[in-house]
Amino acid sequence: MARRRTFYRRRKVCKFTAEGIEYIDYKDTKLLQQYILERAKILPRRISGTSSRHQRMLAKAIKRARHLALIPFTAD
Amino acid sequence: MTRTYELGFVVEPRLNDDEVQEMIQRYRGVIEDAGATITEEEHWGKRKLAYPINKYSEGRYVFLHLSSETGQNGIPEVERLMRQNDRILRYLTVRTDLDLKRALRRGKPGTPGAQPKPEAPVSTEDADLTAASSDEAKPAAATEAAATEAAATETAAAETTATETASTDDAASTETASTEAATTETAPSSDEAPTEAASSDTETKASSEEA
Repeated sequence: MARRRTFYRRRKVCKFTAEGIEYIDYKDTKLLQQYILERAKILPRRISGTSSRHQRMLAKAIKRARHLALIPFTAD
Repeated sequence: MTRTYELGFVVEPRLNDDEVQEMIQRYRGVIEDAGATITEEEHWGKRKLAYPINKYSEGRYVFLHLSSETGQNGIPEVERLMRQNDRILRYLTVRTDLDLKRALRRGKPGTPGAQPKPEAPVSTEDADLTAASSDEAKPAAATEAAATEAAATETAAAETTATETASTDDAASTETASTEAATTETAPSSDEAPTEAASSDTETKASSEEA
């Protein structure tokens, strides 16, 4: 436990806040691909550091994209 | 109060352009009769589906951008027609004016559905930001990258997540073990099983790490 004293934890940054993005397009599959795990699950914000507002927008965009078969529901 | 919508749908891949146009014309009639207009048509052409639908592995993607001054749009009717048309595999209607307005109010437009085939609006080249935020998001690229460069970022990423995600080093393992565990965790595209296992462990082990 104490051996971790020297650890430097990098501060996570919400990409969308940093870029001032106000709308996440469900058609932007390149972007959405970055936020799904290889099992096609939505990347939790505990890992990505996305702000809650943007995580909500992201989740919505991913779900819309899944409906149109732009990105998968599951890994096959 | 103008409302805008985006009506996207996927049609069977074996239809040709003319048949798709014909289909759009039919919907255009309904939409215009109702008092709305089609401001833009986006055609992506054939695209591979992320999963098979009705045994098809490809589909033709069309997006119609609608605008209605009055709020009268023929969307319910169009959706009804699409539901009955079995050559349409999927459809999705999204209202976009609220998002647009919010984007404008906040200064920086996110341009809902403006680009025909939008690239990621966020630049992935930006060195600082990439290092900061896409360690987790795009680890595949990092792993492929030059070993020297990658090693540095990788270890940094590993350290970031090690305290939260590493599950194997709880006992008495070394620093390197934790780094390795975290690296597999943060590289979603390379392996599949480890992430699943590790992430489920995360919840249980996270507290013990903090303590």
